[in-house]
Amino acid sequence: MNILLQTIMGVQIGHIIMWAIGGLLIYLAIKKDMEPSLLLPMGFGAILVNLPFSGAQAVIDHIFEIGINSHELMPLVLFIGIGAMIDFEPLLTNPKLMLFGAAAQFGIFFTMFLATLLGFDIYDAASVAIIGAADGPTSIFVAQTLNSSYTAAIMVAAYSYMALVPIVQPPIIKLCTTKKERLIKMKNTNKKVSKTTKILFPIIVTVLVGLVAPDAVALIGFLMFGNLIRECGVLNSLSETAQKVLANLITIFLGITIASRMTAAEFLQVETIIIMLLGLVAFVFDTFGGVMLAKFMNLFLKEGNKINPMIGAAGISAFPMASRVVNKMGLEEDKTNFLLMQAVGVNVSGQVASVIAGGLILAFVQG
Amino acid sequence: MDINSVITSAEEISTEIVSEVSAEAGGFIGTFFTDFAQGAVDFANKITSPDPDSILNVLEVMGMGMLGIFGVTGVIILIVSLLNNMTSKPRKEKEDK
Repeated sequence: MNILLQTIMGVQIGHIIMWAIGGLLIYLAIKKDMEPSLLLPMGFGAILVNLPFSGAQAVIDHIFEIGINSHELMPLVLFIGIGAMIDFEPLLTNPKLMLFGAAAQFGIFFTMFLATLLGFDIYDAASVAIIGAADGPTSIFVAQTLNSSYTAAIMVAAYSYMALVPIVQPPIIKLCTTKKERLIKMKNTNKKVSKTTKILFPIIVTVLVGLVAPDAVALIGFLMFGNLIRECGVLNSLSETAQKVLANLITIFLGITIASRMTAAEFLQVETIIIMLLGLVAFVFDTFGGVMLAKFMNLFLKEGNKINPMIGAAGISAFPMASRVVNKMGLEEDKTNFLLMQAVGVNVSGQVASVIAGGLILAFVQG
Repeated sequence: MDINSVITSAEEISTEIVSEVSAEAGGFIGTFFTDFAQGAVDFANKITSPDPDSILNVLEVMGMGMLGIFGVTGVIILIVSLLNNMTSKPRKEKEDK
């Protein structure tokens, strides 16, 4: 009886708040369909590790140690699955679209500056800013490599905002563009990309990024390895396994493992609220960066070749939500204005650019 | 009255309130509010005293980072365009097909 009472008496207000947060994540995952594959395990994990004297903590800590803390194994393996899912063809047919992916990383660097102004040290500022990569594995990889004490908050922010892209982006896009700009129709290129290009692309990008930002070579390498499996044409079974079984398996463990850092003591800090706000700033300025580059390029382009600036917003790597948002907004303005092809091209370029940004941040910050 | 003295008084008041509430509620609330209030005060202190060296450093990273991304992207665009040109079928061959 005493043992039972001891556990119940061990419940603190912090635990209850964390149960509520866990419940909220589960609600958002199930009812609002917001990144359910991650928010649900994270929500449940948050409840699990916040039970007084939780026996689950040790097990989850162990998985965290092996799967994340030690060489960021899980996010990297997940990248093989993501790489196998991505079709780079829309980007390869129009490689100039990559510029928007690059511009849409502006939010990362702006947020890093802002976080430093708010008193975060450069390692934590960089870790927080990488929420703007809109890419879970990159966020975990950078935050863990820089040994940030805010990994859980960063993860929750990254995945929450990825799920909130359809709510966060449209007002920013509308604010940055005129109706006339949103009505711009873009020509669809019917170019075909050769199989050789598709096979060489992942290899070349890996070598190039590896030479410039060696710290990111694991990230880009695993992503491009997954893509090579997909495009080589002789490993269809492996490609399917990577896309489905492997990605799903890692996702199950990743969410619940991240939750091991969601103990009340670690999570309920003023910094968590600030990190959530900074994450939002990162997404807003990513969108701003992509749209503004398109507007800038339009100054030099002839009528008929102009770019619909909304596609710049798809440069954040939240795939495929960002491209769907842009296509939907295009159709809302004009029912015959299909921007999906261009937006998908920009969106996959954002995936590559976010990894490059992560690698460069690691290279510059670690010196 | 400068900002530091305001923060110090806020800290003293919040600590006093929290310890009173904690004493009332016992173990359930524990040190949660005290720790949270302390965190808020520490954070406010950090904001009011930014390190100029860190800011200069981060501005440099910001500039180099954006430059780096556009540089690498530019090279990738160049290589992909070259690959597309080299591996696309000649027009005549296409027409024959």
